[in-house]
Amino acid sequence: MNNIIIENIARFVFILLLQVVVLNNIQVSGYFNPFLYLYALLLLPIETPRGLLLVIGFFTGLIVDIFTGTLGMHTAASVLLCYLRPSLLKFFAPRDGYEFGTRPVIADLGFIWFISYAGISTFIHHFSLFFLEVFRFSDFFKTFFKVFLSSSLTLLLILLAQFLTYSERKNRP
Amino acid sequence: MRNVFLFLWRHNFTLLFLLLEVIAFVLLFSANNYHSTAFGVIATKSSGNFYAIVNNSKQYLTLKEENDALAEENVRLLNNQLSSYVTQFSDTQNIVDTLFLQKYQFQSAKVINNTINLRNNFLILDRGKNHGIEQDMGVVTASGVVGIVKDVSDNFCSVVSVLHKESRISSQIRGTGFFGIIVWEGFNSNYATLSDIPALLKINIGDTIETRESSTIFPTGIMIGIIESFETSTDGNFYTIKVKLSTRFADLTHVYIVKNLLKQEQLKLEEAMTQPNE
Repeated sequence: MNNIIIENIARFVFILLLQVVVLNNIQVSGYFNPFLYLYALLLLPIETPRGLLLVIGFFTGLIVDIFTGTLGMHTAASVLLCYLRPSLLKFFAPRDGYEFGTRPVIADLGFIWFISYAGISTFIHHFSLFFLEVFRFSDFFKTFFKVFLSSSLTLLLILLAQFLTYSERKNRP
Repeated sequence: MRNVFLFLWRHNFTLLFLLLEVIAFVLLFSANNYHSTAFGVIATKSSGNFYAIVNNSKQYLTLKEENDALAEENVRLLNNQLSSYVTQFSDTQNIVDTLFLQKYQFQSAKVINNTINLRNNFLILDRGKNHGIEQDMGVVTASGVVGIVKDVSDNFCSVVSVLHKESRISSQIRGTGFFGIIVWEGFNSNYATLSDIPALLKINIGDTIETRESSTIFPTGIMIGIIESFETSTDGNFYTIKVKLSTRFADLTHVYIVKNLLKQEQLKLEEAMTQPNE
């Protein structure tokens, strides 16, 4: 149990650092802004209490906001993601539910499961984030295009991270 | 009561979610200037359209008083023609004169919504960006000062009335150079408070309070009100003056928006002054 907590804290610190120091500086032609930090939210244990999930989401978003200078935007998007996460997990649950201790990763639940879960979560997060940023619906398709491109890039990075970190443990139950 | 707690308990997840989102949005609006302005413009626009309809029908009821006020104002203008070279009450006409440079330009506007019984009162006028209205322009009426323009949409603008917590209008006692700031304490739309006038000045009940030019918003000499009563503050150095406002906020229908044509020039100079020398 302690291991899981420490593992998660370490992951948060690492991913937030990566986000703030490296990824925030990547902006290709204004359409690609990867926001990998939501990966840390996706990988929280399935049994995480829902209230705690919201609080974690709030502070994660707040930290990213403070370093990006966009107070409120990432916070709102992350809290929304954390609010919808339990429903998403329930929606994608295997027929007889999740076994205790299952991690929401490719190694435990398979590629198709993970890509649908991560894909929809990323899309929800980026959609709310970019529309909060422009704060109007007049250039809907332009913003939507940006959401689509950035979501794809973030998802690609998430998959890359999955294969880099979890591949060797494939045979664990 | 028990049911309320049960309800709260059952929905605690959603309530926590809403609470955190509200905090996020408060942060968003308070920290990001663009978002608060965008929100202000949307709010101004939608309420403006609505009140334009309501007001169109309401206007007929006050036609008589309005005509009287206009006639009265016309007489006053005719009497003051020479001195109005600098300040013209007209719907944007520029006077080219080599002796007098026009500094203030007045533009008439119709009040389409007006509140007086809130703590923070606003007006909505039917002039906006399309008519050259910008933030921080002054708004006056025939009888006195009304407020300062805040948000501007394409066809409407919102005005922070004198009857607003944030309203700070620089003012002076007519005939003296002593100035202070008019604030509204709330409750009564007829009275405001003027502070910071030094107690060494001799003032009388009935003295006129007028605007000051230094703020770049209003021309000097627009009436704000008259002194109703005054007392010295506890340390005896300043007066606290109760001012009876000359503007009757309850039935405003036509106002004038004041544009200071030389504002940029003055602000630029003041900015240059506050910059450290290099």
